This record gives sequence, C-alpha cells and structure tokens, in this order.
Amino acid sequence: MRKNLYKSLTITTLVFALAVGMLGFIGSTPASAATSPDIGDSSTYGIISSTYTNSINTGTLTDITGDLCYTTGPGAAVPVSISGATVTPCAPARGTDQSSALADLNAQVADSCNDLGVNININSVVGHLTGTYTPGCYSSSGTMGITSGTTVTLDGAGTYIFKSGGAITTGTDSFVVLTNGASASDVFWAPGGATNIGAQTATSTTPSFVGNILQNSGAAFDVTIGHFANILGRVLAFGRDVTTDSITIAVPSASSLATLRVVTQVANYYGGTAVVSDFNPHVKLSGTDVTGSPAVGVVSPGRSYSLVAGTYVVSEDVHTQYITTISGDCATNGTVTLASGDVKTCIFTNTFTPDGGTGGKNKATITVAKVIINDNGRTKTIADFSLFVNTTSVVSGVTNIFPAPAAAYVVTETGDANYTKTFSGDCDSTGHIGLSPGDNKICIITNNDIGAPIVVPPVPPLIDIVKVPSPLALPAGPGPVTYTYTLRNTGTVPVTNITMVGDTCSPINLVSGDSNANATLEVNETWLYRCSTILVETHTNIITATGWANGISDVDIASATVIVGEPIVPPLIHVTKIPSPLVLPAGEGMVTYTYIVTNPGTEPLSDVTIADDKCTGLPSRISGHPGDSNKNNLLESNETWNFTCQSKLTQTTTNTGMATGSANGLTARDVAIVTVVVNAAAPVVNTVVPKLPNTGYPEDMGTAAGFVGILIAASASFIVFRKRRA
Amino acid sequence: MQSKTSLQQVLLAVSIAGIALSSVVIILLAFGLPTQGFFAKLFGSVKNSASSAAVGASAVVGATAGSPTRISIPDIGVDAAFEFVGLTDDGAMDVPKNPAAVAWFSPGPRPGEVGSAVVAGHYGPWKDGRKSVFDKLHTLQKGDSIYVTDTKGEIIVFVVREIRTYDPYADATDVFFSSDGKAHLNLVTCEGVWDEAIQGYSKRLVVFADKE
Repeated sequence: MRKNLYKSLTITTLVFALAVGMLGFIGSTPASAATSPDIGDSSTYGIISSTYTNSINTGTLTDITGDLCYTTGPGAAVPVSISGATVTPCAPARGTDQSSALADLNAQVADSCNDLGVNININSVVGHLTGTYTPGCYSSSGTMGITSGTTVTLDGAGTYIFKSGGAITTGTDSFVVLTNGASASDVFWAPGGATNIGAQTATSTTPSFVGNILQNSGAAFDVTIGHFANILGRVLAFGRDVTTDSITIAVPSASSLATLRVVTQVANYYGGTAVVSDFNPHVKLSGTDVTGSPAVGVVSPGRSYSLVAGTYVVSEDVHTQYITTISGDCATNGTVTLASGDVKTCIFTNTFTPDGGTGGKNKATITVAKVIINDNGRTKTIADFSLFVNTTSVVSGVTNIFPAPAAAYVVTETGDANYTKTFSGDCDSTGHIGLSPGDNKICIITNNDIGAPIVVPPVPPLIDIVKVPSPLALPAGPGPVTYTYTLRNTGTVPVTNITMVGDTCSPINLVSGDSNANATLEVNETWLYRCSTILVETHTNIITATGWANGISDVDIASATVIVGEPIVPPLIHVTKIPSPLVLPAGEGMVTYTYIVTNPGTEPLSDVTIADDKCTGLPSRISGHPGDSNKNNLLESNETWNFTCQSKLTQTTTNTGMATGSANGLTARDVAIVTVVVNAAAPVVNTVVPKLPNTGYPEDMGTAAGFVGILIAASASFIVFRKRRA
Repeated sequence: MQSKTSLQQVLLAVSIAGIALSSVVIILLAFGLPTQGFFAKLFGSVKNSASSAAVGASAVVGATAGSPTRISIPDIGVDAAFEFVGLTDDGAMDVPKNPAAVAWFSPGPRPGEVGSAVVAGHYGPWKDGRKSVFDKLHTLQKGDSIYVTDTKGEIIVFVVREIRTYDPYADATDVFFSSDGKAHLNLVTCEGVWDEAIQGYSKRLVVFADKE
C-alpha cells in the first residue's frame, strides 16, 4: 500500500516537475521577495495551543516529534506519542514569538505580495495552473485552499509566504511537496481564519502538508488537522484550539537560508532632493536578480532577502548627480558571500554631487555664521534674522555650495533697526565675497544691539572647537571617516543652547563631557562629539558650533580636509583665541588677545601665519618662535605657538583671528571669533559707577562737642547782642 | 545806626535758633533718636530713593541666587539682616537705615551671582552706645569666611581675598564691577577720622571676598 502510494507520488512529482520546466518557458507571475520571520524559541514546538484535543479513530497514536504545549490537554484517555517536552500552560513568550512573527509576515505582505485572487485554490490559479510556486509571497483576500487529491509544489530554496484573508483549507488526500532545495522551515501559512488540514485516506510516509502555520490568537482561528495527516512543520496557535486525529507532525530542521539586508541611504548635502525610494538596489546571483530584486530602497534596517548560501553581488541603478558607495558586510564592489544562517547587511550610500563628481572643479562653498550681542538689553536670536547669499536663503552655520569661479557673491540679511551689522571673516565690509573653485569661504555677520547700556555689562561666552578626522586620508579611494569634535568653554561663564552644525556628516553625537547632564557647557568643561560618514571624494568638512550666555552668542568654526584617492596627508591647524578681559566695564580700555596655535594633525606645518581683522601688531612672518622647540620653523603636533596682540577697545567688539599653515602642498586654516563687551562710553548719562557709601557715624564725643559748640556760639551771640543793646 | 540794628537783629535770631536747635538735639539724644537721620531729613544730604533712571536694569547674569536675607561673619561677631538700597541723588550707594543692619546694592548682582555684589554697613558708635554692624570689619583677615543666606534658604560662602582702603570719592569701579565671570561679595564701611565738614569719615574700607 505504502509502496504504491510512494510510486504514485513519484510519478506525480515528475509530472509536476515537467510542468514546472514548461512554466519556465512560458513564464510565471514574478514573485515578491520574502524573508523567513524569526519564531524565537517556539521553533522547538510541534503544536502550541490553548485547548488541545486529540482523537484516535483508528487506534494509531498521534505522533509529535518536537515539543507540545497547551492550557487544556487531551487527557490520559487519548494519549499522544511525543518526543519532546509537554508544557502546560504555554509560556506567554510563545504568544510573543507568534505575534512578532505574524507582524513581520504582515509587513512583508503589505510591502509587496503577489495577489492570487479572492477565495482561490492554490493548486490551480492563474499563473500557477499546476500548483507550483517559487519562493515568494502569495496572498488571497479571501479563503485559500487546496483541492482534494491535488498537489501543490514549492520549488526552490527560499522563503514562501501564503497569506489569506479567510480560512485555509486543504482537501482530503491533498499534498504540499518541496523540491529543488525548498525547506519546510521557510514555508509560512498565515490564515485570516481557521485552518483545516485535510485527512489522508491512508497513512503517508511523506508529509502531506509542510510549513509553519501561524494563527492569529483571535476568535475563529482554530486549527483542525484531519485523520492520518502528516505534517512537516509547526502548528503555532497560541490562545487557539487545536484538534488532531491520529496525525504525524514533525518539527523541521533549521533553515539553511541566510539573510541579506540591503540598506539604502541618501546624503543630500548642498541641496540634493532625492529620497531612498528613488534608488533601486539589486541583489544578483551569477548576474541574475534574485527573487524580489530589484526593489525600491528602504532605510535601515533595510530590505531583507532570504537566500541560499553563495556569493552574491549587490548593485544599484545609476542615479544622475549621485555617487554610490557600498559598505557594511559587502565589499566596495558589492560582493558578499553568505553561509547558512548568516545575517549580513549591505549599505548603499548615495551622495549628492551636483557637478557629477568632477572633484569640486566647478564648485566652492560659503558658510555664513552669525554672532549676536545683546549687551544693551535686547533679545533677538539668530533665527530672527533671515540670511541670504545673493538670492539664496541660507542658515547660519550651514555650508552652501555655489558655482565657481565667481567674482562676487553678496551676503545679506533682513536687518533690524535696533542692531548694528558688521561683516568679518572672508567677507569684505559690505558682505561681498569672491569664490574660486574649491574655496571654502566663511562669512561672519555680527549684530550688536542698540540701546541704553545696562549698569553691569554682561559677560560674553567664549567657546572653542577643534575637529580631527580619522583617517586624515583615504588613499585607496572612498571609505568611512569619523570626525571627532572637541568643544571647550574657554571663557568665564557657562554656555547654553549649544548647536553643532556640520555640512557633510550627521548625526553629530555627543559622546561625553556633559557630566552633570544639564546641557550647559560649563567653564572648563570639554564636550566630545563624533560623527561618521563615507567620503567618496576629497572633501573639506566644516563644523559650526554656536553657544549663548547672557544674551550674547559666540560661534567657532573648524574645517578639516580629507584627501580621497591620493596618498597625501593634509595639514590641520587650530587656533584658540582668548581675550583678557572679556568685559571692559568703564567705557574703554586695553584688551590683550592671546592666540594659541596648535597642530592637531600629523604633518609638520610650514609658513604658519596668524592674523586678526581688528588687532594689529601680530607678526606677518613667523620665524624663530619660542614655541618652536626643535628650531625648524615648522609647527609640529607636539608644539604650541602662542601670540598676543593688544587693542584699545571703545565699544563692544567681535573680531576674527585666523591661523594658517601648510603641508604637502595644501594649506589649512582655522578661525577664532571672540566678543569683548565694552560698557558704552556714556557714563555721565546712562552708566554710573556708584560712589562709595557714606557709612560712618560720628563718635559720641564728636557729636557732644558739636552740640557744645553750638550752645557756646549761641550763648556768645546772645551776650554780644545784650552788650550792644547795652 | 540802621545797619547796627539789623546786625543785632540777625545775631538775636541766630542765637534763638541756636538755642532752639540745641534743645531739640538734647531732647533727641535723651530719647535715643537717630540724629543722623534727623540731620539728613533736615538738610537733605542723604536720600534713600534709588535713581532708577541712572541705574537701568540689573545685571543680566544667571540669576541663580535668591535675594539676600542675612549675613553672618563669625570672626567679627556679625549676624545681621539685609536692607536693599540703590543710589542717593548724588550718585553714591545708599546706606542702611538701621546701624545694626547691612545694605545690599540691589541694582547690582545678588550675592552668589556672577559679578560683584556690594554690601554696606555702618561704622562708628551710635550715640546711645549701640555699636554699628561693621565696627570690627577692619579686623577681618584674608581667608576669613562670610556667610550670606538668601531667600531660597541657601547659604552662600565667601572667603576674604583682600582688604583695601579708598578715599570717599575714589573711582569705585573695582568695587562695583568685575569681569572674571566669578561671584564676588564686597563689604564696604567707613574708617579713618570723622570729618565734620563732610559729615563723614575720611576713608572707606572695602573687604573683597570671593564665592567659595
């Protein structure tokens, strides 16, 4: 009997295999990609149920290879042969496993799934007339069934998802069989109602049904498995009733598939507008797209593919104006090798390059940074001023790309009659700025409020930022870079409202430093930030740090160039500028600016210069600096060169110091912007230094003597008067 | 003759006035009333109203401290309440009404805030024998502690940094202003010899203290 059945099955399978081969020529519905969801520790269970009922119509025990759990069991009268553990009741974690796996399946169905129609029998439906399916997702908005006496074939390694809107019912003596590497562990049935697996007329040595039945825990989601059915799979029906009748059920071996996740991200610096769904990543095996590929890009955790072990190549369709790099577990050429059970992730980074990646030949950048000084009681902030470069609206601290060369761009703002406006940095006094290709220009606008001075002038904030990329160069081509930003409070008052704006890296994460977690950069506190990105071409990253104290903002800007594709280590230079004092309370006075110039990079710097737009007297040519410990006129990374400059200030002043240094044919520069508050020079009218108080009382004796004097004088006057009268 | 008569009448009037004044003073002394306040009111030499137009807004600094309520300087036996004062009409910091109290210059920073908080106290014996709060201020030494309690109930500790003597009309910028971003407390009183002409002492004593 069994031999005959086996023979007939073999013949049936051969017939279907031929049919499948023919289908290969006539084509079938393209499958959507599907990925096996994680069922957690439920993987050892053959049956998970609420009330489990078993019957023995023929005297043959129900045989479970695996674990069993239920709330209400079948009792001793109707025994079950079980190889694993019997657990009662089912642990809540089984329900969690089930609901999370179902959520995963439903998400995949919602994303992309082949709709087979309403109330269909999958053994014969348009596109699958022979009942054969390749890996993928298949759905019906109604019931899903298999006609009695027919066979459905799952052909090929991969994940199969069958999702129905109603019950799933298989007829008597129907079969679901696996061929060409298909695995029961990777077959998932997600019914929208009850599941009824048909009976077999006789016991079957091969499975009559395969895969994981994932039941919703709602009402009407019970499972009934007919007499003599032979299941290679799992019935996961936490909270629902399961009924069996002399069946065989065996937990399948673990999946041999690997998971490949493909993440797509877009870097829209300088105004790119594409989104991840504008990109189409491919996953190919031997030059052919795998099932579900290509598909539109998705952000992390990415789009998943369940794939058999092998070496795959990921790629992406060309997108104009974007350069694509591949990272993660994939090689930069997109190759990734998967072994059974692997979970690997490949990341596509698409970087906007408006000039088509010509290495910055036709572009330059302008960063406009704003400083606001409210030392006379006004309260405007940076957001109250609209900034423009020509007619382009820009944001303080954000680097903007512009065509170059160009004779003059003009930086403007919507002014405020209560604030003065001063340009500094690379702008001239009218806000004009010329660009050559490759320039990274900085324009600083300082707005100082106009009004009556306040009796105690506010102390301005002072911050300092230094940025170091790692590595400094990517000689082998595009690759990851991590920027480390060190932000310090070099002033005398706590600084709040810290913002860090970087032009080509996000997110910028605060790693350490705010030890009391009050979001205030305390005096002498040092905050460490990091940001990682992928550079595809030589690039100068610019970071703008802004902070506030006492109604005054301070800004510091650091830039660092990373060379891509050439074995050149670029220079780095840093200047910290500290004025003394920060406040001149009485009208005017001398301020000494100290410039501390260091080399945070690795290359010794030649031709070091230091200049300040509002303090004269700094050396134009530096040689023999006392800080040059090895007397080679090069600023090494272990040296500190200090400079000072004195200036007489008569009004609140923001000035910009700039240090430059060269190495390997490249020049690095750093700016330092500080504000010194001068109490307006109008002490007579508005600002008065109080005189010291008159706190004394005359001593008793002194008081008495005074009164005696008065008495004597009065008496003497009276005597004189009397004498003259006489 | 006419002129002699006029002179005699003037002298008579002055004599009467002198006697009357002496009598009032004697009465005041007998009942222990404040003569300085009396003279102040009589001659308008001291005004208690702060000149808000001249002072403007108070310091724009982190207002973390409350207003001061009490000062304690154990080394010289001071434990006194605060009065709040501004400027007199002639531009001087005003003084406490009560010789046993101290006065905080309220247009400036509060004690404990960034900047220089200035506190004045009287010096010299009161006519009824009572002492003034800062009679012994000159005996403070560098390193001595000053405790200020504020309205938040917090006690702010200051440590004496230095003691300086000023002329009464010296530039007091150093006393009222600081730019090092730290919190200071500067105590002011008088010292030297009593000068009848200016109804005050010849010097001012300032104790500069820093928040601990």
